[in-house]
Amino acid sequence: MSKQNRMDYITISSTGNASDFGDATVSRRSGGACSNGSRGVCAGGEPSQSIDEIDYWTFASLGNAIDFGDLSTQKNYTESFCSDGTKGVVMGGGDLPGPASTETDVIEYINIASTGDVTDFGDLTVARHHAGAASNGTRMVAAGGQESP
Amino acid sequence: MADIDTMEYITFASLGNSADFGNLAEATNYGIGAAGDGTKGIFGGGQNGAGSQTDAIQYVNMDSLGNTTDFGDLSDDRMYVTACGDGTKCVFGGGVKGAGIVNILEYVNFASTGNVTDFGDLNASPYGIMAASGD
Repeated sequence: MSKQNRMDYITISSTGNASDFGDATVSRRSGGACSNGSRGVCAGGEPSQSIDEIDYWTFASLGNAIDFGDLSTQKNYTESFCSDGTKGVVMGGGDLPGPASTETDVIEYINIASTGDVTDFGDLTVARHHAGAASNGTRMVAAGGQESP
Repeated sequence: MADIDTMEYITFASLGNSADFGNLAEATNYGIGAAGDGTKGIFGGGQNGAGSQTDAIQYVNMDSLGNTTDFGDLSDDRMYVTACGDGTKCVFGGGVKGAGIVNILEYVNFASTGNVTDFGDLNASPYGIMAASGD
């Protein structure tokens, strides 16, 4: 399955099919995305190997994504990426595509309103990748994932 | 790889290490789609420790540490689902169903437990997609 750089959008308050929004800077899958309400950001993923790219876009304007900065290392399986409206926090991730991936316990963040590279936040209790995560604007909870045996 | 059924959390305002939150009650370990509305955190789909995909949707109350509670079901068992919300709806998109990739968009209302309702379709059939909301 080829990776894609397409970005589609829906209007959540109604129902209906997705429409074209623009293109990401790199075709990829298995990264993470979050927003501060006006700007969306996505980080990591795998075109063929893991990447450190962070992209952003502005929800109000259809168009292509723009480079935001970099993760601390090349990572995929960074689905655990959430925001409180100011920070975008990545919890965990993996270093390689597929079963050879080694997960990380690194938690790092960006300030979504600016651009730039990540800053260290802290460490997970368990290194994990492919976790799901949700935010209530104060707290971010990461659930599940995988670790090396 | 070993599957993980634990949850951990951070507080955005305070840099530091994460802490234990609780456990996933349904054995759903990775490829989960998740979103929050300010009260609930919802986790849907994924693959369980036995290697089977699931249709389970489960949730936590974000303010209260503890294990997940059953919310409802996706339309099918699948993994690598993505999820996103506007504070009212939580929309699940794409994913892998069996060996196939689906373009399904479906949703639940955060405020009411229950099964998904059809939303529409993605333009392609992707998995491992990323989603964020401007609402």
